[in-house]
Amino acid sequence: MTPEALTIRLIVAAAIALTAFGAVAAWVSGNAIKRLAGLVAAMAGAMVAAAALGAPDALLGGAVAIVFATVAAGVALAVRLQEAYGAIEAPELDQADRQDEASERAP
Amino acid sequence: MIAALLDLARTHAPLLSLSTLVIGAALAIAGAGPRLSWFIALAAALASAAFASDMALRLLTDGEIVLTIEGAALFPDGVGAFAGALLAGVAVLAVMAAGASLGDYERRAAPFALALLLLTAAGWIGALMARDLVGVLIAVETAWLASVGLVAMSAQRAALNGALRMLGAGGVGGAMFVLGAGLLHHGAGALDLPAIAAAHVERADAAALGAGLVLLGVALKAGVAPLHEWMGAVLGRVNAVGALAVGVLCAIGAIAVIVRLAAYLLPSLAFGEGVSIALAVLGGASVVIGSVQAVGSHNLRRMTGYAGIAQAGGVLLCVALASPAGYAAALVQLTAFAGAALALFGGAAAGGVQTLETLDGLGRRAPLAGAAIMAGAVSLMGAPLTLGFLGRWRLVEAGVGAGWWWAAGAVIFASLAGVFYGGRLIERLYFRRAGEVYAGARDVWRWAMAPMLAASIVVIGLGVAPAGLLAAADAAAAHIAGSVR
Amino acid sequence: MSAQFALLGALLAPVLQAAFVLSLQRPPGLRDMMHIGFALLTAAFAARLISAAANAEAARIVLAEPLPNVDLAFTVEPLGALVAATVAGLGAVHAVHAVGLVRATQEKAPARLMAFTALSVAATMAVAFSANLFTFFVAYQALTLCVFPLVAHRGDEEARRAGRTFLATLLTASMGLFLPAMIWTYAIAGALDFQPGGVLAGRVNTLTANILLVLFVLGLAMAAVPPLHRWLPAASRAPDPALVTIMGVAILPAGGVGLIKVAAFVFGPALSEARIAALGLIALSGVSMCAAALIALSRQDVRERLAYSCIAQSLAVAMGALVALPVGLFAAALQIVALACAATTLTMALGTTAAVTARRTAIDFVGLGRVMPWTFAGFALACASMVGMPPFSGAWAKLWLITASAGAGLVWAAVLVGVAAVLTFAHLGPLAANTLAGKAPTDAFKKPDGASILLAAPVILSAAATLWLLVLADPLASFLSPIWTPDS
Repeated sequence: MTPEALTIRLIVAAAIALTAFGAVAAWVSGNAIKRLAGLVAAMAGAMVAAAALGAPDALLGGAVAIVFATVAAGVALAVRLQEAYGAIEAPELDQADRQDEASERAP
Repeated sequence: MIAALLDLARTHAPLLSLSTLVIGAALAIAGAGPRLSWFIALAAALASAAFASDMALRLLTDGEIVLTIEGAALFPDGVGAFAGALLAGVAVLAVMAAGASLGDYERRAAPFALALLLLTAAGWIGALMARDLVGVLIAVETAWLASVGLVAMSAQRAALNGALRMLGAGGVGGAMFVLGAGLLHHGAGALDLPAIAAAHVERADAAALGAGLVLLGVALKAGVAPLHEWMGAVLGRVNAVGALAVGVLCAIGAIAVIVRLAAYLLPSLAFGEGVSIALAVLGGASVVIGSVQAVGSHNLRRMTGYAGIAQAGGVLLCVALASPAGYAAALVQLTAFAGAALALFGGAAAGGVQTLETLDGLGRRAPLAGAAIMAGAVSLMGAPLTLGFLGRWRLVEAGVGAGWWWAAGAVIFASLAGVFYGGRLIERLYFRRAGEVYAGARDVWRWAMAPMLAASIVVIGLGVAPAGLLAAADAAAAHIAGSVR
Repeated sequence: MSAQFALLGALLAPVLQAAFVLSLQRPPGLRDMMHIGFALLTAAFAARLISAAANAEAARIVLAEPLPNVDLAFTVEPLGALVAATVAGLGAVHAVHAVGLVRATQEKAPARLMAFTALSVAATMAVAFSANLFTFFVAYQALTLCVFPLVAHRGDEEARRAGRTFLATLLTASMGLFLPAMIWTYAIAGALDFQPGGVLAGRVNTLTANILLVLFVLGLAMAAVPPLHRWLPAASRAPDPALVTIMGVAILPAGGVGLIKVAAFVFGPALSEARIAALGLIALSGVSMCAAALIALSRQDVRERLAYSCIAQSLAVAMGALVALPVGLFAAALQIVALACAATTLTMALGTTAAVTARRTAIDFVGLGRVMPWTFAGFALACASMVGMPPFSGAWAKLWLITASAGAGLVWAAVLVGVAAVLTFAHLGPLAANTLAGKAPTDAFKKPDGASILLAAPVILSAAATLWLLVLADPLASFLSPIWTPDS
């Protein structure tokens, strides 16, 4: 294996790890902003890996556009959550939802 | 002159069926007031459905190959044309049904909701017609973000929480898709779907991993079990229009995209078998988990969503068989799923139903909504002479033919579970008295009932006389199998 | 009247009956006339179809083609015609009885009760005349759904629980066992048509045939083959017209027809491939037959006792169908007719008794025959037929069944049938004898003026029907022979 190929492998491996890490963070993290950060990390990892593997520019361009759109939507959502619940921590939101549901069931 | 224009339009049918929806969305936002926006949205959806179904008819009956100058980006194959026409039809009915629920929004918000609904449909249709994985990726994400926005527009704040989960799940799916596409490109040397199928794969491992990640990325959005954690949170609290977008358009669209992608990935000698196994595992898990959760749920929309997961699992099992018969069975099941979901979500919206308790005696209070929910439930149960029965029959037949006994067993299990949750619905509809005064009494536009009635008629009618549907599904499956070879 | 028209009439008349009964609830006289009139019309159509089947007239109605090569279709063949005629004839008698009963007992929502009994007759007609497995399956499900409202008619917690057991058992068995077997058959044979000689003949291996047979027989839970028999005792507290429908006029005959159709028209000679499963099921039926008769002995509530007794009788149908000999099929067909006649008589007699005296337990029946001689004369005749006493129809069925078992080399099966008959005698014989021989009760009845003619006459009529096999056994054998003679 040439050093160049080895470098590419290492980059790809690191990028895939970043993707996995970001995905897990986006999945389990309680805070809406942290989730969003996890998503961006996952996307960034995926893009770096794809770029290192020689993916066409169209894929990378598309991915960048999607990251922007997702971040925009996510920030807007976080703002709305803060307005509606006064919190952006998932456990607090779930707690509030359960209370809503319970109060609706037994009026 | 007009004939020439019409010809020109038919030549560009794939592009037009997409762009009418997008333009309709833009115009709907510009429209003054909910009613006008609604008319614009409906007109756009109808036009799109006309183009899509005309194209599907030509492609599937005459085998006419639709070549367009934008052929570089759009490539309508059999599955894409069939599912695209199905989805465009569903979009028409969803927009019609949304008309009854526009009162859920503030006056200025309603046009945006309609636009997002149209964008959701446009995204999924685009993904069904895109030629390469980049196109699929962008179209899928457009649809997904539009539906997230629609969910977030619900009046209840719990829907925001659901939208956040949707965004998270979808974003992870998107990252998987990008990574998978990169790996697939690395392994197979192409992002073009037909080219991937025909490619001589040099690095089988990378390609296999890539194919798996691409499918998984879409499966996350389809809510296939066990990747559906977001679905219950969303469907339980979202308003009627959001439920239609997520429970019907997104569910059908995402599963259809999986079917189409799988049809290109499965024939590959290098990784086809792995893809088949992955799909079969996901499908089997969905059938079982979805059925169990549907039996346990107390909210009509959630129950429908979980039952839909079971249906989606059935579709994946069909696809995993990797044969034209399997693809055809998948498309039949997809149609059954669409009909049942529309009837149930539409009926729930028209009857103002949320929890199962509010169904008590609905058959007497609101006979039409009750009949629609009944038709949907009967089809989900897989009762004979419904579309649901036909879909399951085809799956079991194909599964038995291929020696997949466990798949047949899983489907029978789903039917038995369906007897329980569907039977419970029907019991509440017709054998119980309403506990309290009809809570959801409000002014429903009469003809807003039309979509779910149309869906129930389709569910029953195609169950009794399915020859046309079966022929179309067979033609679509043969077409994609032929274009891959 | 062409056979085609009669077939359409036999299927449609009970549906119209239900529609008219529901739409013309008032005055009750009009409703009752509709109920009885259309039931008689159905019986007339069914009788016409007997002659059509005897003359091998072709009649076929196709409603739809939901799957390639599979129609939703009805046709006339001897077995279906025989059972349909029996059911329709008894249905007409039951219609009269139901009219009398709802007048005497003030059961709630009488029109609904009548309408669903009519619909279940319609579904039973559809089961009997079904031209293929798919149609049979659809009609079978329809029958389940039509009888469910009867079981749950009273709407209280007990009725609802019984209804749930009924629905869950029958639907689960048919969807979980029968449906897979049907699809499997379709995958093997590419067709589902009922035809003498069987669609599976020469197409299955031993393993497949054995599995399929078990799936089919247990999937037909209406035949009450254990362990899927719980629904029948559970439903025994339903209103009396529902009991008549379940035990006499609709469900048990439909289950029996299903067994014979599966054995003769789906398997045919292929049944010999499924030898192990068939023997196992025969043994299961034989032992359960004795067990059911024994359990019946322990039940004091006459309805429950009758339910277990009917399980034992229905299992005789299963045995006959599975013996895989023409004699066995003949015995099974006779047994369906005999069981239908006897069970209808007994359930109607119980209904009459309850309406007049409000008595339900065996001990309270002592001496009632002295007060209600006609009703209990019919009761005794039907009991004798259930036991298998000559010259009643049950005797011929049992006799042929024993002959068939012995002919197939299954002496132990013949012995089990004999033991079951003795046990049946033990739980029905003394009961019937005591009603006639005991001292007449002296306490006051609910209705001191006794049973109206509407309540007594049907019992006598259907009891008389238990005698008719005496003269008809031979003609019936040649009438039914196309079932086991494949077209060449």
